[in-house]
Amino acid sequence: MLTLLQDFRYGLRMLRKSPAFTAVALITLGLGIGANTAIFSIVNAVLLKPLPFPEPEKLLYMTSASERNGVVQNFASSYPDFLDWRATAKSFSGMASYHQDNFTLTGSEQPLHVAGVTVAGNFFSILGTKPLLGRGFTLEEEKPGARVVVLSHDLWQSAFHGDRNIVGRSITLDKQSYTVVGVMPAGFSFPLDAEPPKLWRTLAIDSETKDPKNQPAATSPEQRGSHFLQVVGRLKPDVPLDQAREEMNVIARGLAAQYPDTNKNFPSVALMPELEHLVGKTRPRMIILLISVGVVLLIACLNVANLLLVRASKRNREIALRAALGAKRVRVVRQMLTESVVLALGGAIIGIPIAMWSLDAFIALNGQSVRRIQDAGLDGNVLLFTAGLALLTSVVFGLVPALRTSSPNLTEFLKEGRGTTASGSHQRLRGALVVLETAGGLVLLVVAGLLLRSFHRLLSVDPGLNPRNVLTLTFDLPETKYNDQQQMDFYTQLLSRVRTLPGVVSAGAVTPLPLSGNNAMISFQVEGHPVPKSEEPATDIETVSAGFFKTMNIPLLRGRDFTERDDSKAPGVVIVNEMFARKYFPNEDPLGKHITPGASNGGPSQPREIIAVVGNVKARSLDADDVATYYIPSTQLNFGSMAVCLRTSVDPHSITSAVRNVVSSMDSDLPLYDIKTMEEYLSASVATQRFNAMLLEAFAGLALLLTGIGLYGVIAYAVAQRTHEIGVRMTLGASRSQVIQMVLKSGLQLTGIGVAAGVVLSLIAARFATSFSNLLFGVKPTDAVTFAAVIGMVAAVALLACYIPAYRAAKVDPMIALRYE
Amino acid sequence: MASGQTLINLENVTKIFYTDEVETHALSGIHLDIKKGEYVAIAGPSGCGKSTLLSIIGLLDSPTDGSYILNSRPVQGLDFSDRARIRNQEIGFIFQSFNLIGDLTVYENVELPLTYRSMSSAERKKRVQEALEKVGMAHRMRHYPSQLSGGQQQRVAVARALGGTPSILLADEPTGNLDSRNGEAVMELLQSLHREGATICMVTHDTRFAKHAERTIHLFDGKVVEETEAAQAAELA
Ligand SMILES: Nc1ncnc2c1ncn2[C@@H]1O[C@H](COP(=O)(O)OP(=O)(O)OP(=O)(O)O)[C@@H](O)[C@H]1O
Ligand SMILES: [Mg+2]
Repeated sequence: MLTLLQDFRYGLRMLRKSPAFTAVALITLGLGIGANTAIFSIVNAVLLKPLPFPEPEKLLYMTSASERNGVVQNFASSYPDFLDWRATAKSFSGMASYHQDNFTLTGSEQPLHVAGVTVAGNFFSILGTKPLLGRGFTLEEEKPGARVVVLSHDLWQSAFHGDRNIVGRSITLDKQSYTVVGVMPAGFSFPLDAEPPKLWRTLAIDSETKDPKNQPAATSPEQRGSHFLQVVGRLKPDVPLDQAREEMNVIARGLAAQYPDTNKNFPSVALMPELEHLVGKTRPRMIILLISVGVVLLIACLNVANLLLVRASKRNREIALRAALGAKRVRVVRQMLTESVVLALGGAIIGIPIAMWSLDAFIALNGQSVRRIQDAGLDGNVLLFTAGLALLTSVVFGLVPALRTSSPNLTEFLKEGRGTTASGSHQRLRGALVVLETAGGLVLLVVAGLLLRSFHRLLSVDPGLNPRNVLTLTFDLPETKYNDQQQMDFYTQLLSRVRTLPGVVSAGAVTPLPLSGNNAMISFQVEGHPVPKSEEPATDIETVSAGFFKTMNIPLLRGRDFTERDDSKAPGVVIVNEMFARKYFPNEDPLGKHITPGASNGGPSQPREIIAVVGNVKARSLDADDVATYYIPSTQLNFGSMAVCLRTSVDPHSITSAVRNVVSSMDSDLPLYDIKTMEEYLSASVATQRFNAMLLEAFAGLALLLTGIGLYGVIAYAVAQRTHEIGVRMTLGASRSQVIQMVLKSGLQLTGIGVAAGVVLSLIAARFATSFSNLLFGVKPTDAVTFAAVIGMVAAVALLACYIPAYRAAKVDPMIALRYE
Repeated sequence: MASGQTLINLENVTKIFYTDEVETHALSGIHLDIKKGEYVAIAGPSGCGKSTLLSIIGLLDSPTDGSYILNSRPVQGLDFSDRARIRNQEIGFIFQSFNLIGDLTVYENVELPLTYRSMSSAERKKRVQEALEKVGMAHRMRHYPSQLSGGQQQRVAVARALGGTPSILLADEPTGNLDSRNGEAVMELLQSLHREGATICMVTHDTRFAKHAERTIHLFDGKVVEETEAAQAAELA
C-alpha cells in the first residue's frame, strides 16, 4: 500500500516534469473519455434505465398481429377484442387500453388545447404509480356516463396553480363537466412514446352511443374491426412471458374463428416488454454510436501509448539504471502502469465537463428525435462507467509501453554509441500503432460518410408536395357543439375566409397531415372485384378539402380536383394517387371506376367514383416506399380535427395571428395548436437520421484529428531521432526535395497500410452489420464515392501531418554529420 | 602522382562564426590548391579549423569571404540543390564516426549516394559491388552496420565514398574512432586508393598518419602556418 502511494507520487512528479507530454495526453484522453461518457449517458438513459414504474419488466405492450401475404405486422387493437382479451386471459394481473385524444379545456382564462389519453379503469393500478393527490380510476368508471379525469402534475401546476383542493372539483373539457379524481406525481407519463399527456379520462365516453348520429359506441361489438386501441398488460409475478404469449395466441385464434369477418387476419397477439416497444428500434443506432465512440477512445489510447513510447525511449537509461540497482521487472511495470492510471484518471476528470457540455449540445440540437434522451445525465451509473473506462483505458495505452520499457535492451545502448543511427524497433511498434489508428479512423469515417450520404439522399427525395411557405395549424371542434355537418361547414367557411387574408395564396385542409407521423388505413371494396370482408384491401386514406392539392402543390395528373360542391348531397367521389391506380387498376383506366371505402358518417358506406389521379406523396416518411392512398372530400366524410394548410407569399409564421383572429371570430373557444410549417414537419421527419449523421461526423472528425496528431507525433519524433542520419544523407548529396520525399514516403507508407486495413475492415463490417445497412438510405455500404472521399480525406490529413516534420527535416544542416561524435 | 591539373583552388578564404555576439574566426585568409591525384593532409591542434576547412571544401558550408573554384568552376553562390548535386557527384565523404545508417544493410549504405542521382539499378549494383570489392567488404554485403567491427564499418564508409566515383575523397579523422591496428588498415586502404589515382584530402591531428600524404598543410588558429612535403613530414615525425 505504501509503495503504491510512493509509485503514485512518483508518477505525479514524472508527469509534472514533462508538461507538454502530460498536456497532450490529458487532452487526448479527456476528449476520448468525455465523448464516451456522453454517449454512455445517452445509452444509459435511453436503453438501460428501467421504466419509472414498479416492476417495469412485467409491463407488456400488446398488439394484434396480422399475417397478410406472409408478412407479420402489428396492429392496434379494437375495443371488443381488448375487452375479450381482458376477460379471458389468466396470465395477467391486469390489462388496460389507452388511446390518445385532444381536449379543449375551458373555464379558466383562455381556452386551452390539451393532449390527453382515454384509458381503461384499471390503467393506473396496472402501471402501479401512486397518484400524488386523490386516486386513480376504478372499473366502475368505465360505465357510460362516468366523467372523471386525472390530471398530470404539469397541467395541475400550469392551469390550476397547484391547487391542493382540486380533487373533487369539476373542470370543463370539450364543453362537458368532468370531476377531478386525482393528480399524478411530477415525471409520471404514459404512454411514453408520445408527448407527455396532460390528463387521463376513462373509456366511458367510448362506451356511449353518439347522439345524434346514432353511431354505435366504440366498445360495441360492431366495432371489432376498428383498430385504434393500444394495450398494456401486467404479467402475473410467476408467469413466464412465453406462457402468456401462448395463452394470448389461443385467445386470438378463438376470436378469429368466432369472428372471421374481422379477425381472420389477426390470428395472434404480439407481446413485447414496454421498454422494448419504446426503444427497441433505437438500439441498433445506439450500438453503432457506442462502437464508434469506442473506436475514438481506442485511437486516443493508441496516441497516448505512442507518446509513452517516445518518453520511454528517453527514459531507457533511467529504467536500465533501476534494473541495474536490482528493481524487479514487475516493480518497474507497476510504476509505469501507475503513471498511466494517474493519466487516465486525469483524462476522466477533464472528460466529465466535456461530456456534460457535449451532452447538452446533442440534446439541445436533436433532443426530440430520441425517446428518453432528455433524462440523460451524469448519474452514478455513468460516473462508475467513466471510472471503469479510465482504468481500462490506462491498461490499454499503458501496458505495451510499460512492458516494452521494463526490458531495456542493454546491447542496443552499446551499439548506439557507435555511430550507427538508432535502432528502429520502437519506431516500428509506434508505426504499427499509427496503422491501427488510421484503420480505425477510416472505418469511422466510412460509417459517418455513408450516414451523411444517406441523409443527403433522404433530403433530396421529392416528398411529392412542395413544403416551402406552407403553414399548418389545427384546432378541435367539440362534438358536443358541432355535429358532422356543422364541422364540415365550419371548415368550408373558415377556408374561404382565410383565402382572402393578405399573404395567403391558397388554403386547404387535410387529415391526417402528411409527414406529421399520423396515418389512417381503411379497407375498401373495388367495384367489380367483390371480396369477402376479411380479404378487403386496406390502404392509406386521407380526407381533404377543395384546394388542398393546389396548396401543397401535389400535381393533379388526370381528372378534376374536389370542389365545395362535392358535399354530402352530391354523389360520392374519391381521388387516388398514382400508386393506388397502379396497384388496384393495373391495366385499366381508374377514372370513372368506383370504390367503396369502409368509412362513413353514419349509415352504410357508399360507392365513390374515382374522379382524378394525383401524384404520390411521401406522407409517412421520406424513406418509405410509395403507398397507395385515396383521398375523400372532407365535405363528404368528417374525420374530426383537420390540419388547415395555407400557402403563403410571405413568411408563413407571420400570418398566424391573422388566422387565429379569423378562427376566434367564428368561435372564441377554439385554441389553435400544432402551428408549424410543412418544412418543420419535413425536418422533424428526418431528425433521427440527422442526429445519427451529426454525432458520427463529430466522432469521425475527432478520430481523424487524433489520427493526424498521432501520425504527426510519430513522424516528427522519427525525424528528430533521425536528424543525424538526415544530415549524413545530405552530405552524401540528398537534395531537400529528396529528404522531404523520404519523410513523406515513410508517413504515407504507414497511412497506406492503415488505409488498406481500414478499407478491408470497413468492407467486412459492411457485410456483417446488416442492422447498420438498415440505417442507410439509397447508399450501399460499399459506396465507392464515400470510400474514395474518405481515403482522399485521410490522405490529405496524413500529408499535412507529415509535411511539417518533412519540412523540418529538409532544414537540417548537413554539417551535423561532421560534428557528431 | 599529381597530374598537375588544379582540382581545388581556395583564395583568401575566411570563415567567421557568429554566436551570441561572439565572433569566432575559424579560418582567416586561407590559400589552398589541390591538384588532381594529390594526397593532402590537413593537420593542426584541436579547434584550429580543420573540420571547418574540410566542410567548405566539401560544400557543406560556405566561406564568409574569399573564392572557391572546384574543377575550374566557381562554387560560391550556388543554391542548396546545386551544392547537393555537386556533393553527390564530385565529393566522397569519410567521417570519423563512420556515419553508416543503422537501418540499411552494407549494400544499401554504399548504394545510398547513387540513389540520389538518376542511375539504373544495374549500374548501381555494378558500382556497389566494385566499391565493396575494393575495400574488401563484398562478403559482408547483407550485414547491418551493427554486425561489423569499427574497422569494417569504416571500410564500408570508404566504399560508400568511392561508389560515386568522386573527384576527391574528403576524410575527417578517419581513424579517430579506431584502434591503431584498424587505423593503420584504413590508412593503407587510402594509400592504395591514392596509388590508383584518387585525389584525397584528409584531416588528422596525428602526424603519424599525416606522413602517408604527399603534402601536409599545418593549420594554427585558422591560418596556414606551414606546408610540408612527404619527405619532410617523415623527417619531422
Ligand atoms: N557552427 C559553429 N558555430 C560556432 N563556432 C564554430 C562552429 N563550428 C566550429 N566553430 C568553431 O570554429 C573553430 C574551428 O572549429 P573546427 O571544428 O574546424 O576545429 P577542428 O580543427 O576540426 O578541431 P578538432 O580537431 O577538435 O576536430 C573552433 O573554435 C570551433 O569552436
Ligand atoms: Mg574536427
